[in-house]
Amino acid sequence: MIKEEKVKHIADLAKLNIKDEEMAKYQIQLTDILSEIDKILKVDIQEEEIMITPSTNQNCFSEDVPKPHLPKEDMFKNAKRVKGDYIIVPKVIE
Amino acid sequence: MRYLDLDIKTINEKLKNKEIKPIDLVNEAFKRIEETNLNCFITLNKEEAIKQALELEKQEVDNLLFGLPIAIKDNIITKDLRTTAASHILDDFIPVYDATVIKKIKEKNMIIIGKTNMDEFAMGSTGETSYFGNTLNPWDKSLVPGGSSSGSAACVAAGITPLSLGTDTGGSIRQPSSFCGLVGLKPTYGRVSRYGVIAFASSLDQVGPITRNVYENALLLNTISGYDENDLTSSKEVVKDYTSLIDKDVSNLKIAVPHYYMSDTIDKEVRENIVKVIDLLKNKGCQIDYVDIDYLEYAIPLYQVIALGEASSNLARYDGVRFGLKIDDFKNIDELYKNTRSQGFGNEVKRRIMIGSYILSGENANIYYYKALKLRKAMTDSFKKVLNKYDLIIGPTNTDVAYKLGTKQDDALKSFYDDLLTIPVNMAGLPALSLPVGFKNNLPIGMHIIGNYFQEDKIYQLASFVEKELNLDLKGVK
Repeated sequence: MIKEEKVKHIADLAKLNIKDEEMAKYQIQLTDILSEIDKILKVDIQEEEIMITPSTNQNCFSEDVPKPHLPKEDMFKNAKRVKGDYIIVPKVIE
Repeated sequence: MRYLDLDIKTINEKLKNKEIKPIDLVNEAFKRIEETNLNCFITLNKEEAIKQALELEKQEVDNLLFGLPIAIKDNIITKDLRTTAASHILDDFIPVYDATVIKKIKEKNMIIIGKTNMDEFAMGSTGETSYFGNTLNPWDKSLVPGGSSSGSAACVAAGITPLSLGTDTGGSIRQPSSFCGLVGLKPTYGRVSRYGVIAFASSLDQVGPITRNVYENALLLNTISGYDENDLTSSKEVVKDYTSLIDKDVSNLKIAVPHYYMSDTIDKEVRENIVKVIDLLKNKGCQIDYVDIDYLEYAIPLYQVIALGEASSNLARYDGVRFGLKIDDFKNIDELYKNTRSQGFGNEVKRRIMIGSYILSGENANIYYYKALKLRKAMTDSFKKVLNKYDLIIGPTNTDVAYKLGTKQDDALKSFYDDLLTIPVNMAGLPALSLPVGFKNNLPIGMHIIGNYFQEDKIYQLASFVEKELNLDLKGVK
């Protein structure tokens, strides 16, 4: 079973908080999934080729012409903290 | 008389000769929502639907889908109509543009009745991870309807709308279609634009039609298919008329049945039903062989790496800044992110993005993700080898029929194992359909028909033959 510290580390990577009362549940569930995932490490594959997407499209270039875009009011419509042309966020530099 | 129980061609005739109007269909749909009480919808579009129906009275009935009510899965964005992906984190999100598939639906003058309930961010196989409560199965309200397109399937099975759109990342159209006795297709990857579809796993997601019969499914695929310059993974492959091979002779078809799809893991009665169809096809003259497809047994861990890795990246955008849930309790940017996401996401989603973030972090990306990409290629090659020799692959869609709501809720692996037979198809990007072919304890059993890339027409050819031969009574809905 994975340790509490590892669950906290994984939650931190995903930008999530884990409550103390949830810890035991996540230890079990994340262990279960990670053990399942480990199965692919044992598969013997000769080929070195990889597949990232089923799409076979190559070099999709767009014409370099201006096109209409969403009006500014629409862009801000779903933001909760707006001042003028800006979205307010907490200070990110010291 | 209920007009919505009629087939689309008959409804179309009645609209054309003015026996009925679009508003009659819309009123019937909303009445049926109240009567059935299945929690199929997260948001209803009643006012707008009525307005549109009345406006359509002034227009000529110019296509078979004109004036028909349709239901849309709530991870497909609709301008000015709330779209939540069944998540608390988006429960007040109002899109400012339409997804490409929605534009295409509107061009045909179909009427959107509402946004259907689903598993949160399409993560689940029962509908139970929705923030807005369970969707009930119209065949038996104590059972799951399947998922993640739970509401899109339940609403068609209950006769609320004749058609709906779902999305399928690992089986989310085919599995609920199977559990609700419907025809559901996941198109070839790239056949349908993903522009405006709330992303779960971008290399697997596809939008597809859920309908009562094969012909109507093909008709809706005709409408939503096509290249879209806003989705650079959409294909320029010519859009065929997907109804063109329906009712054409199937006796020359060569069909493969993978041993893996008929193993002991699959319920015996489900297998027996598939064998009955196999016998039917053999009698018709089809060549049917049992085959091996390599690496299928690794589909679930493969999916966990690919789908959850992509999901963790796609869901990083839910940060409490530009849209979505507003949390006021934070001291710095990291707390804003963490508090918003911890309150906004449900358990299944949290678990999945944690795993995804972990397997993509540092050296793990090389160990897990890179290995998964090689495995994906090898599995896809294995499918291609079979499809070079055969027209189609068949087997069951699911390991069993619909089961009780609340089953094994603490089991983190359950929702993945429900998709045992559907996941490999998304990995390869192939098209596949679920078709009702029988019953177990009066509950529908789905057969899986997998085709070669962009050969949805051939899938419908076989499906329409089996549908006609079996002629099942699918009105067992309570």
